[in-house]
Amino acid sequence: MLNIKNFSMKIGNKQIIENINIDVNDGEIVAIVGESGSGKTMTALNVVGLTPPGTVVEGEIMLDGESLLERKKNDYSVSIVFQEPMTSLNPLMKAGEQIDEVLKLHTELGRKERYNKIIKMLKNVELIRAKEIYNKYPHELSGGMRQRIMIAMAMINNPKLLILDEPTTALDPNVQEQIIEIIKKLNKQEKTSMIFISHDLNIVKNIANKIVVMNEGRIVESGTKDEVVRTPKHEYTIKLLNAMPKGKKMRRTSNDDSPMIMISDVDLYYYENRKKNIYNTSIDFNVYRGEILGLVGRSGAGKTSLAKAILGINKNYSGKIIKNVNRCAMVFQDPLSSLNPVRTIRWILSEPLKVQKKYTKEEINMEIKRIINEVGLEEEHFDRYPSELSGGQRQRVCIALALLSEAEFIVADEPVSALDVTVQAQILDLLLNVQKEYGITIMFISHDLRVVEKICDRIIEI
Amino acid sequence: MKSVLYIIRKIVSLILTLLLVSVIAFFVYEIIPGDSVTSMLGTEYTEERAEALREELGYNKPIYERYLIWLENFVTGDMGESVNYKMPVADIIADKLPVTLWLGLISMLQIIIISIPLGVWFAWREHKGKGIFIEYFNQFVMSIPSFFLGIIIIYIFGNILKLFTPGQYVDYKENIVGFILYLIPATITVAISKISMVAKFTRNSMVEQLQADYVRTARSKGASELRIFLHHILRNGLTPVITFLGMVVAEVMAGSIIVEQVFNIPGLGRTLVVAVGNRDLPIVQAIIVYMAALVIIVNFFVDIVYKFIDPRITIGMGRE
Repeated sequence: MLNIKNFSMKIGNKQIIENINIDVNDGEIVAIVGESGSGKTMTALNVVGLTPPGTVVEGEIMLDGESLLERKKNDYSVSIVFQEPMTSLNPLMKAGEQIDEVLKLHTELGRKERYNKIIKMLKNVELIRAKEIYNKYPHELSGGMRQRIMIAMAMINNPKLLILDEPTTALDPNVQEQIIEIIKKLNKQEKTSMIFISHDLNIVKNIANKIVVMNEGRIVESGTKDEVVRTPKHEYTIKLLNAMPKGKKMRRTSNDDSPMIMISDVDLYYYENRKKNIYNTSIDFNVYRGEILGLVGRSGAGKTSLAKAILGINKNYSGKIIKNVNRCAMVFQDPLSSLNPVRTIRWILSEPLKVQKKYTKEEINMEIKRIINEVGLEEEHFDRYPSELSGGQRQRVCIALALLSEAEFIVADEPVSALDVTVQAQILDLLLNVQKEYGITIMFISHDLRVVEKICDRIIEI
Repeated sequence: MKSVLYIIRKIVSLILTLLLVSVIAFFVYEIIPGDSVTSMLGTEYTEERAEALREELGYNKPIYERYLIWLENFVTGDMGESVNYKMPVADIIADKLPVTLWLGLISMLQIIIISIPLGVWFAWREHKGKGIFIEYFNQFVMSIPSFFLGIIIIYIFGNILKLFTPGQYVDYKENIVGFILYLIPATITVAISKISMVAKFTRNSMVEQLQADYVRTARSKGASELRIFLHHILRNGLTPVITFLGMVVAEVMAGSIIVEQVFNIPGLGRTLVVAVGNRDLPIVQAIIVYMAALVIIVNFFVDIVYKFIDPRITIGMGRE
């Protein structure tokens, strides 16, 4: 049904996509897998007709024998669901109205008919109180609900092809599953062909008929799901499969039995209209010196709030937290926004040493040179700004910062969630090395159980 | 329910801000050196008389008590007497306030009517990737000082076009049409640099929206660029402009002080300048309170309007 034939794409002099061939048959789900920069999203944008300005394309994209590259008007026969449900909806328009816009643009239906159709569609994506949801603004809906709205919007005019660009990446694991189920159901019910784009082979395994693996703008491997997952041929596919954390690690036994941090009977709360809302009660556990403790829990359970309470930057808790530790540090999920954008890496790394006021300039220079090698960066990175580093490199800088502040206890809050799988593995290795070498205690917060199981000695669920 | 609460909260903060302004205006008296009793008595000054007058005027009472008395009088319309004109301040204000209000109102109307479409047009050109020479010109206009601009405008409107006679002020009580015609060159002077500012702000705010993810969503729906611009970007881009306009009101009030000088318009601004020169403190006090109150009240309404335009504004208690 959809044929992408010898398709290449350039922006300026940069080759984004090089000679790819993808076929999608009726009712089929084809997954495109790859890391960021592999060209998978760009492929999708070309199919939908959202080619960025300044692009030169070659080859052909045909839908039912008609060229998609030459069409003048977007008739919504191909629709798309984007990765970011939080920002992909117009914040000032009601959810229902945004779906309605599609029908206004592409059908002649009257007001009443459109409304009924939308309500039916909302129920179909399992938004039960559909009439209520119709009149809600995006900020009043959760991420999962917004993504359902996006799916409803994409499906409302019965497209021939639906493209899903990392539709679950920004969502919690249990919500992810629900969305996957809805997508599967719609595929069966409406016989809509789909392209499912993801970096996560685990999700893809559950949904795709065929898998296409892309790397640096080229297709390195493609075939049925079983072929690609069971008998991968290309080394990049093998690398992707291996990067998926699996299996359990040996438990480390601590020599020192006295707990470093004791958390007893802690309740977490927040204020809404001056009313105290308790959202997690009776949290009770110890952190022992030298261990990596995994902290897991559903979203909204207060994992980050608890971590902040331990570090003393969140006062909204009751109960007892006893700390037997001198210096703590935190590594955040988003390394870009936690580093000062207008300072060089050299300045950023020197700062924790400068504030201690016990080092000379030379000593500081020596120390940051040592530490930057320690975390796997080079001295050439010193004069760059955070925006000039990759996500993984930035996270290395954050870890270096934690080490420079001589922290004995590090809270790592979803430190790898925003990274590609192969980079994830590297950062996790770095954390393990650092832990071993410096004997630091780490509390590792994540919603991804596989990651937690890979590196933690003990797991606590709150 | 929630929006009622929001409005009540805003009203409370409005009243508190106004009280704060009154405190500052009152203490102008205390800070500025010089004793009004001494100047009232003049050559007839003796220690005893001064003491008696202080007693009579209540100057010996503690400061907070005097503030409360002053506030009560002020609210009930008794703002004291001008030292210079020997007239009740309330009468002077009542005479001058309409002049400045008209000046501000006509300026604001010009700003709103011209700058927003201009900014939207800039953004649309940017969106279409067209030239931006006009924006450099805009930047240039923004940087012309208003007293200099005033002189040029007097020269063009008065001496070349002969649309008004510079210096021959027409009183609004006698001839309202003539009065407004006389004001127009002055309002243009106030408005021009603000028009550039608001147009630039509008443009930036809209251009920022062009990058937003929801615009990409709308495009994927097959909406035309014009429709995307009018239905999605316009409203999102204009909401910050409303807040900005609230701040521009303060700028316009400040601008009127200079422009009233240049154009010889007897409004609050000019009266304020003269009163400061003469140490006529009751007038200074009253004008400060009036100008500040005007700006605060306008911004109060801006907040209320904003709340109804942008559904995301909530009462802002507790966590997000």
